[in-house]
Amino acid sequence: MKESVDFEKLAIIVAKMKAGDESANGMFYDLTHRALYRFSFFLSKDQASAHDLCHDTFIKAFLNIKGLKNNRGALGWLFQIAKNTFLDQKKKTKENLVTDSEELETSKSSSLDEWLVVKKILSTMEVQDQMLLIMIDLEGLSYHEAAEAMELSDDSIRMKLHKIRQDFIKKYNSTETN
Amino acid sequence: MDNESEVKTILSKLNQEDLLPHPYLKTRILAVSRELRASERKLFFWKMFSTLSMAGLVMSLYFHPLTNRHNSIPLNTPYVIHMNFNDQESTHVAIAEIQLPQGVSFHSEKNLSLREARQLRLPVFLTKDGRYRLPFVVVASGEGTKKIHVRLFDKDNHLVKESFIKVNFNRKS
Repeated sequence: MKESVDFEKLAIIVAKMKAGDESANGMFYDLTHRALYRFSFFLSKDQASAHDLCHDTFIKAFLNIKGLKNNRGALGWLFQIAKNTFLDQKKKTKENLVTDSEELETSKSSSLDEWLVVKKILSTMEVQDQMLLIMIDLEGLSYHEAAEAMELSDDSIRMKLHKIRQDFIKKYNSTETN
Repeated sequence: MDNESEVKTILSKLNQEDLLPHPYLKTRILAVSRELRASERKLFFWKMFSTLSMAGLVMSLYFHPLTNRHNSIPLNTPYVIHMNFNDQESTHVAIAEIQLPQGVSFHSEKNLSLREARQLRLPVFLTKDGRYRLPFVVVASGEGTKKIHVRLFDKDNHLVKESFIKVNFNRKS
């Protein structure tokens, strides 16, 4: 079962962090780490890379929390940092971090089956499309929050998402029939 | 079922307990961020320290008598020296005795004979703001830092204070 992030509570914690309360960093982590890890997992090639991405994203967020304008939009902002960090790493390494099916098979465990199926489907899609689907349909961000995180307009997000969902369903159904 | 609901249904099948980061990730992240913050604070301290030190150095150079532009006077040009006394020092001052070093002489357009004098006794003026001022004009023929000896006396001719004014004379100024 998926738990969604309590955005009101998150806004209060962010306000504490901005005021210099370092103990709030731990609370921020507790509230957001599941969502960020899932997001990182889908983008990264394996769980170790997802851990690294998560780590770097949290460090950047803690050091730059004062730059966050809308406290309630902290999760979208966190995803934005993760996205930029991921794309930077990708540029640097110039390697395709999208998972290949062989690797999926080797790291497959029964409890991760569903995750790996979804990850496999997402890996066939554009990085930006994956991110949108995760942010809006998995993590429950609003169109506006996702648009801010992706630095796109609300309308373009709406239009894109329609196609992305169709594509995802088609691929998911074909996986099931296989 | 529309596309949005269908995707959300598929994704809701994912059990979040199946996918969690390593339990030590939190400890590691918090420790690293604490360390980075501490080094940022240290860096901030040293930046402030160096900025303030630099500002202090500039100020001290600016106000240092030898580098003070008011004390860097061209040769053979009459220059007015203003000596000011605060109230405490000047309570009993009535006369000032000025003794010039070699290469420096007094200057007066009305009284040319002053040029020959090595020493002068002048009355000290009280201004409207209750401060005493002692203006006098000098002219130098030799380069370098010269010390003008000033002694202040009360009305009974008792020495109240003695000081030296350092003046730097240059060919170019």
